[in-house]
Amino acid sequence: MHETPDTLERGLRHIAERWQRHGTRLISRRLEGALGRSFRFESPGSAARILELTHGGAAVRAASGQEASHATFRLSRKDWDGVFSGRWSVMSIVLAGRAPFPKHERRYIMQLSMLLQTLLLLED
Amino acid sequence: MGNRPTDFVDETGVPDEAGFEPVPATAGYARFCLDMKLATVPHDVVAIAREQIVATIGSCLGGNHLPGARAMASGLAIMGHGEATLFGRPERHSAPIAALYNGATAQNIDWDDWVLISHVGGCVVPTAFAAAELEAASGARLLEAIIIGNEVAGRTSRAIQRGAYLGNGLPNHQVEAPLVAGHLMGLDDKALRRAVGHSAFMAMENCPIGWTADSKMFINGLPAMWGILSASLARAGMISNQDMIEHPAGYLATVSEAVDQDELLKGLGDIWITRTLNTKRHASCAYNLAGVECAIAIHQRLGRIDPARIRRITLDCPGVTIYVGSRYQAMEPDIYEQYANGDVTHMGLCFDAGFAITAALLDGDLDYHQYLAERVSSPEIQQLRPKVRFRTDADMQRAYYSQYRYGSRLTLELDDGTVVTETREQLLGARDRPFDHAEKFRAGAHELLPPGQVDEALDALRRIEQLPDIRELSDLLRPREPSDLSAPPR
Repeated sequence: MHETPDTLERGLRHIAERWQRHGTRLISRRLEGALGRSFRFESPGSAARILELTHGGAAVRAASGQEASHATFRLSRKDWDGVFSGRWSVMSIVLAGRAPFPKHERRYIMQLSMLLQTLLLLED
Repeated sequence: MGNRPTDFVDETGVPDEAGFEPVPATAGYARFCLDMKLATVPHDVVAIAREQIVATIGSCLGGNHLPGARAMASGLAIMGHGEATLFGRPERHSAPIAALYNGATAQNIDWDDWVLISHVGGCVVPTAFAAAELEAASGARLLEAIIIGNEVAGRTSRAIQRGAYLGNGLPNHQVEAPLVAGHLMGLDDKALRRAVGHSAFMAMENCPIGWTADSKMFINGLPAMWGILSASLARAGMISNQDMIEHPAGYLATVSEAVDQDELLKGLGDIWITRTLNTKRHASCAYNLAGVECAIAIHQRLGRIDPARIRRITLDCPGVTIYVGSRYQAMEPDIYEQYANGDVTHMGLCFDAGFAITAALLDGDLDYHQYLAERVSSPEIQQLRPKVRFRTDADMQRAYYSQYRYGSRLTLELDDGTVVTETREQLLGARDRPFDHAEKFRAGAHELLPPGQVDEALDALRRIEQLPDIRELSDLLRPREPSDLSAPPR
C-alpha cells in the first residue's frame, strides 16, 4: 500500500477479496460478532467506505454522509499502511493513542481488528 | 432475590409472566459454597487444585523480582501491618492487603494460570490463602475455596465471552473472590450473597493502555483485596443486593454487552471446570508459549547463537498470537525506548511474541530475568527484533478456537542457508501437557528463599490437605531476613 488517496479503497478491496477466499477458515464464536455489521473506514484524503463481512462474503461500498455504522475506524494514511501490511492491527494504533476507541464500539473494533490482521497474514 | 411479578392470568388467558427471568446465579453459587466438602470432590480435581497452589505461588515469587513489585510493597506500608503472608517478602500485612500484593505479583510477568477463558489462580489462590490465614483455616478448607473459585470463574467467563474484554482483563473476579473468601470465613447463605453484592457493586474494568505498566497488576489484586473485605463487611451485617451477578442491572450486565445466563450454573457440582486448568512453564502470555518452547528447543539444539548469523525468524501461529503480540508495536516512542526511559515497564512485553521468542532463543529460558531492563535493552535482543515475522496458520487458528490448543511453529534461517524448525501443537502446562510445577516454584523462588526452605515449602504444599492450620505453611513462603530483593527500587 502507498500513501495515495486510494490507499483505503485498495486496502479494503484486498481485504474483501481475501475474506471471500479465506474468511470461513478464520471465524469462531468469539469473533463472529464482527459478522453482519457495518464498519466505517476513514482516512484523510479518501472517501469514507463501509465494509461488511458475512460468513461467506464481503462487501465494500461508499459511505453515505451520516450513515450509521457499528464502529468507525479513522486512521492516518501512514497507519493504514501499517495495518494493511499486517504489521500492525487497528488496535496497535488505538493503543498508540492515534485512533479513537469509543466505549460503545470497542468490542467491534477489537474483533474486527484481530480478524483483519489474521486474514492479512494468512498464507495463501 | 429481587422482586418478581407473580403469575397472573387476565381475560386473555395468557399468563402474564416476566419478560426476563434471570438465572439465580448468586443464590446458586452461595449454595455451592455451603455444600462444598472436599471429601465429595473427585480426587483428580483436588490434585489439580493442589498443584495450582504450587504453580501460583511460583508465579507470585517470580513476580517479586521486578522493581514494580518492590515499589508496591514499599507503598503498601501505609496500610499498616498484619498477620497475612506476602509470598517472597519478609513483612506481613492484613489479609486484604496480602491478597492485593500476592494477586499483583502472580500476574507481574504473566505467569499465572487459567480455566476455560478465565485467568483464575492469580486471583483465587491469593484470596484463599490470605483468608485462610485470617481464619486459621485448614489446608482442606483452602482447597475447597480454590475449587469454588475455579468453578465460578470458569462459568462467569463463558457467560460474558461474547460481550466483555477477554484475556487477563476479563472482568469476572469480583464474583469469585468474595465467594472464595466467604467460604473460608464461614459465611451463611445470605452473607455469601451479600458479599458478592458488595464486591461486584463497583464494577471494575481496566483501561487497555495500562497494560504497558505496573498498574496492570491490579487486575487480579484489586478484586482479591476487595473480595476479602466484602466478605468481612457482609459478615458484619452490611446489606447489599443479593442477586447482583445475574440481575439485568447487575454486575455481569454492567461489564459485558452480552450475558449468556444459561452458562452461569450449567453443570455446577457435576462438571468440574477445574479440570480445564492450564498452567505455564515459562513466563509470557499463553499465546506466545508454544513459540517460546520452540525457541528454547532450537537454543538447545544449536547452543548459544550469534544474532548476526540469524537471517530471519518466522513464527507460524494462530492470528490471536500475532494480534496480541503487535498491540504495542506502533507506539511512539517505541515501547522498548519507553521502557529504557522508565515511562513504561516490562509489562507490555509479556504479550509481545517477538520479544518472547527472541529472548528465549538467546537465553534458552524465559522467566523474570529476561524482563529486567538490562536484558530487554541488550544489543542482542535489539538486533533480532526486526528479523521476526509472523504468519497466520489456519489450522492452528482453528485448533485454538475449537479445542483450546495453543500451537506455533518457529523457523530459524541462518546466514549459511541452514533452516531449523520446531513445532509445538500445544503449550507446555496445558491440561494435556503437564509439567512438574516444582520447577516453576524453584525458578520463582531463586534468590528469594534458601534452597532448603524451598524443599520444605514444596513438601508442605504437596500435603496441604493434611495441614490443620494453613499458617504452618506461611513461614516457609517468606524470607526470614530482608534482602536486596525486599528493598524499594532505586
